[in-house]
Amino acid sequence: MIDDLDALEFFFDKEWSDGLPVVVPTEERIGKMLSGSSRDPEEITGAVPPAFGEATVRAVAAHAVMAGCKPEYLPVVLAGVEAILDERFGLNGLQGSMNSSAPLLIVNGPHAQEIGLFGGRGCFGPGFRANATIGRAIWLMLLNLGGGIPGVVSMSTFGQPSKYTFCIAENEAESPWEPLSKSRGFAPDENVVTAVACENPQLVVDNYARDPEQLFFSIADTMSHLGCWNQWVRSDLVLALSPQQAAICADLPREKVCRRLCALAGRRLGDLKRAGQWREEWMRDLPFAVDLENDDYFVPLIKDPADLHIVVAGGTPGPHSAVMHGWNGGSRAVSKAYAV
Amino acid sequence: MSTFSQPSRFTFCIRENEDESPWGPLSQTLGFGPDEDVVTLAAVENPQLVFDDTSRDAERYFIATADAMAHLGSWNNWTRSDLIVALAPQHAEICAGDGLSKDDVHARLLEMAGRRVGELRRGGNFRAERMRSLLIPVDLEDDDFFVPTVKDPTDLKIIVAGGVPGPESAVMHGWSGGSRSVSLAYTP
Repeated sequence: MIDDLDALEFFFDKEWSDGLPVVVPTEERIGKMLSGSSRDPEEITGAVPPAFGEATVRAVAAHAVMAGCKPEYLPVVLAGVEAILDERFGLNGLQGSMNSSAPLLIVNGPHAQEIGLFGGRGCFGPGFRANATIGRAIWLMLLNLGGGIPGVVSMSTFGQPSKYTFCIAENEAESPWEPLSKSRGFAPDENVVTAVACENPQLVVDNYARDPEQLFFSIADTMSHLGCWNQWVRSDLVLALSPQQAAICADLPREKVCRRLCALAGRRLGDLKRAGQWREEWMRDLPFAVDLENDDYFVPLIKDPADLHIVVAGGTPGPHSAVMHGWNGGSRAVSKAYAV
Repeated sequence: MSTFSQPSRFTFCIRENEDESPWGPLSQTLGFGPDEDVVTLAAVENPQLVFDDTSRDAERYFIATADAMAHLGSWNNWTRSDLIVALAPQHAEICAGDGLSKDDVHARLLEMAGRRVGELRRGGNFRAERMRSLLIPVDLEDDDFFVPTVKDPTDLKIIVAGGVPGPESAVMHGWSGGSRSVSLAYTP
């Protein structure tokens, strides 16, 4: 026990921690963790930028131990690593960015349910081992394999609480729609991790709306505040609707909800010009034409409908939605199917 | 019964960046001595970023920050509730460079953040009775009537936090009105 405590302090001294105690990754613990996957421990899943430490299956397992994962969580952690190391995700830029965005993992499929990965009441907060430790394992690898140490590589001005851990299952059981993974082209019984670089959840409290149009008004308004990057460049945005809010829209297919929010969320050009991160050249670079002479011209917040990811999460009752704005355009959401 | 909970329930604790602040510390604003050790607690939501590296003057900077404070999803629109704005040193310097004290920044954000009655009526957690029970009079017959997001000036706390460079502020909205921030001095 004393040895373990000394080892724990060693991890703090070496800056191999997120600021919280880690489980010391002994060979024995790593061996047990590796039993959660049939993959070769020496297989390289990729290298984590910018330090490019190799994420071998063994190194991933070691970080899963440090984060407190059970062996059966390992396939999700491995799939999460593969998603964020996909070139489209743009991890190198995210690691150094002044912004605060962190990789959110949204998990679909039967495996998530089997291991207790939670999408119901309180899923973005503490209390659920799978959510807490899988997300934490990802962040520990960004620090230890990628070198994303605050103030050294990471120039994030504030950081954000969701960098500690940011992992949920979609609440498929209480959703009126098909799972996110299916809408992204995967089969309904596939296990899929979707990684999105985004900001902390921002709540939309609305126990007033009784029809979709009313509900969309406050959601679109919250999506469209002038502080977010989505105003200026093409960027992802995740909208989590609680089952109660999703039920209000249940007569509409999710694609229609997406299209309607894309149409409603945005600001007049005149509003954009006078505040925030305005750059005329960014408006010229958008995938659609903007009339720069017309201050009443409506500029949609979501520059490409494929960037708005609507999921159902949270508990019932709960008149809430959560808006998670995207990073600065250098990242695209990536989904990876995984085998158990 | 939290619907979503939030990541900042794992841990949510910072020191004010007094070294890089152009102003006095929050504790002093709240009436404590400059040498006192003070903890302030506020029940708030996750930090929401305001990224702005275009503004070079305070008045322009305030627009996006006030806009983020005033979105229709937050509880602050409907009831008296705390709200914290953390300015990164770079944003604080823009304000200080224009000769503004922290009180000036506080006053201007109070004035600018808010929504018209007509907008409040259309979405979010609107209840006429909530508007009537506010500390401030609201003319519910006038859709252009401006309702400030922060209902009592003492509920808005301005602090300086984060690193340099960093053209960012962070807005932390309050809970439903059932909580007030509390500050306590302590002896180490």
